[in-house]
Amino acid sequence: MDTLPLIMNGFSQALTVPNLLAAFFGCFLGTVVGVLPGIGPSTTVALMIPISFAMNPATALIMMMGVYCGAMYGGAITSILINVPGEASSVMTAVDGYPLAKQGRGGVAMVLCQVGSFIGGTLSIVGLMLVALPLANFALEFGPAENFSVMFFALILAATLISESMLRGITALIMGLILTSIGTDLQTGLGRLTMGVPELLDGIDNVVVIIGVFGIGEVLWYVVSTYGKEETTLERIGAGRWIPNREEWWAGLGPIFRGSLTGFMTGLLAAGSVLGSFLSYSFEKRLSKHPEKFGKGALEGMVACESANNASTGGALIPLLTLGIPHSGTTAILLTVLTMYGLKPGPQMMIDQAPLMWTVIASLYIANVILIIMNLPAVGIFIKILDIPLKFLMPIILVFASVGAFSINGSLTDVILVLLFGVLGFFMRWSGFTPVAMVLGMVLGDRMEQSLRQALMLSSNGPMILLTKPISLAFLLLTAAIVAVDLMTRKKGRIADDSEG
Amino acid sequence: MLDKTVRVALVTFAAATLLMVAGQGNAQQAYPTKPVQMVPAGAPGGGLDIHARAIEQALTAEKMLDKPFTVIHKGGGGGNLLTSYLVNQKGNGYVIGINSNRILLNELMGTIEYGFKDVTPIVRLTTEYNCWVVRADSKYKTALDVLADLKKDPTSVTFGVGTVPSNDQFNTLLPAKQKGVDYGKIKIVVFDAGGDAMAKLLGGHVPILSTGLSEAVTQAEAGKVRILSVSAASKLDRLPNVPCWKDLGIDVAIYHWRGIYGPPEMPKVAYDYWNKKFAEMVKTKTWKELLDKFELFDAFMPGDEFTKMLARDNETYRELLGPMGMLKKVKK
Repeated sequence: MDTLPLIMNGFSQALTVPNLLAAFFGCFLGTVVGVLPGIGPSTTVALMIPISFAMNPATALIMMMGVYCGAMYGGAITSILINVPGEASSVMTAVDGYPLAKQGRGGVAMVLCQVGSFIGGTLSIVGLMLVALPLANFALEFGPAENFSVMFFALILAATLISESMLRGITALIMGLILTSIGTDLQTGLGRLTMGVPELLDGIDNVVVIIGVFGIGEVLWYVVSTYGKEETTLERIGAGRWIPNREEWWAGLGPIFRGSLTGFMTGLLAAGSVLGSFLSYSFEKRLSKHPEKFGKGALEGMVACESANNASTGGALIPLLTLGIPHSGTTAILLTVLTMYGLKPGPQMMIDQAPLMWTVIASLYIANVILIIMNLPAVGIFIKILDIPLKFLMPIILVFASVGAFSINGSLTDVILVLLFGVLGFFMRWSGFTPVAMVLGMVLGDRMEQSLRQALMLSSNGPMILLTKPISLAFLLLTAAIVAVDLMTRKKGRIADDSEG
Repeated sequence: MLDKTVRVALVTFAAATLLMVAGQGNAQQAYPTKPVQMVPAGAPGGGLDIHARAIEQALTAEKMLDKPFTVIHKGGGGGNLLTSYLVNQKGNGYVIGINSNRILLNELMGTIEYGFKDVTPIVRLTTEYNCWVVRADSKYKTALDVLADLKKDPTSVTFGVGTVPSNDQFNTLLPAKQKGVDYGKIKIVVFDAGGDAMAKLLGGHVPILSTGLSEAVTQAEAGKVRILSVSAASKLDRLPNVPCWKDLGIDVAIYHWRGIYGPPEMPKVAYDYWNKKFAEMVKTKTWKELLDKFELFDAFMPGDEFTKMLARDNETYRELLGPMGMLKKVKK
């Protein structure tokens, strides 16, 4: 493969002034979108479609790649500062990031996340260039049975870690599974548990639940825990230092690379960025010498999670670029954009449209460089948010979360739901349930259910399909082994309550 | 002094009011006098949004746009949010919506109490076609082979589709029904829309797909899949080697169409305006180019014909969905 001249040509195309400006604008917009909960990269890219009519394809695609990468960077910021993850893939960032902020290490957390994002993003592009074709074919091996087993593996791995009490963990998980079954059932086209509300036919957006149980839940917790205390207190979290020390760099290094690899591989699969962030967090907790600190402000899990969700971008682009098949929301819209420019997305795209495709890949590199340069100094600005006294910060979070919920679909129903989930989040925390387990069940449950049903319908011998497919069997055996080890060593996972400081 | 100022102001105000009223009088004939809301029943970036953008682009480029559009997305509830929105806009001539045959299906399945009779169908605009597609190394060379297997045992071949209820599904059921297959027993697996089904076909996890034509064409050109049949009424110029159902002796044609709807009791002036406007638009060069770009086909049908077609399709769907157990239970 003569990729070197192609990639050099790609860089020379991407480094023209208009294209660099487009990349910069895209990165900035993406970061803003990432910071704002609710509106995500796929919606933003879609809203840019009319603007992009006026541009040439390369410039428009470069701008959109900037948004795609930028949103992944931005997601960490609100998770850490105000406990509001804007996307399902940054939930695990909030779990440790917010406690870190409370300990005055919010800046450190943000810097490490940005660096992790940069390394994850960059490595995944290298991966995309080097092994795109073999990996694309490997990704095709994942049918419904394989997908089910991978998600089952992720669910069990994460669930056994999260909860101190097995019963509470499982209850929360089941609550998530119930929530995810609200909406139109894919296989029959009929509404389930919608209670006659047409808005519920689309199901409840994961982000609504996440913003509610984390963001609003935190606000309510604050209100109740300070009730009756001295009124004039100007208690605040405080910015603290933001340059990581040597020890912190070392702690972050391994997780960054492991997270990048996990994220890149899971990016190949549907729901990749979510799967990658939960899996990499779980891996880190298992590898850690001090798993009890996880959920109370351990850097490792958080950094791995952020590296993973950025690394998933490269992985997710592989099926799109090599096979013309989109896997995630954002790549599906990129496909539409390619079609709008009269390109025919398909297996021939990398060959027929080689110069353009390599320009896009080069622009991904550039976007990551722009983002790290742009965002590292911004940490110093964002961190000031923590200097706001809590009694002023909490109402701001409330507004921020409500607006975020509204921005998802422009629907008032979502705002009401976000407040309801806030109350639920408060009571879960009050009674020692972990919202994380519920979110996990919710974000993975839907696809798990559909994959299982697809597998069973395709199978000629019922559930045996899960055991006769080698990849599926491997993941199930792995799951069984982990559960067995846990039971034998009686090493109970410790509670990772979302924000216990 | 003050008195005079007040008087002048009053006179001016009265004159202005009169002028405005006079203007309103003229507006009874002139339509449109303000921007028109165009509401695709889908999210930005989706197929229906593309239609909104294409209409806007074609009318602008051809200088046929009298008043600008405001595009608002009502993507939720499988198209139901648009339908209820239109119903609530009763009598308003300044709202048009874009939707597919989901307006029929949703009422039949009982997810909404309104159907095509509760809105004003304005025109049918475009269509896509569905096709049967297998992997290049499949044992099936023609659609008739598949149908022969289904005839022997309706559960012997599992179809993958992008969503139900849908034309993907009808494109499986209708040909099978014609060939005397017990079509209620055919196994249909739904994958996520947007490429998931194609990935599962390429990976060999599902033997055959009934899916949208455009995503199958590029894969076929790359030699990865074989298209067995297309749901158009006659062979497509683009695919001279692929038979349509009629070529195979099966009297089926399926249009995956998109149409324009207005609110119930839409003023006649608005209804006529849009019927005429779209009839002119579909003849323009820009529109034809846009159709090619998005791999859509012209399927223009004026309002009266469109309404009749909806009534016919509604009965066909009712008949098909019955044995699948997908029709609304109780009532009627």
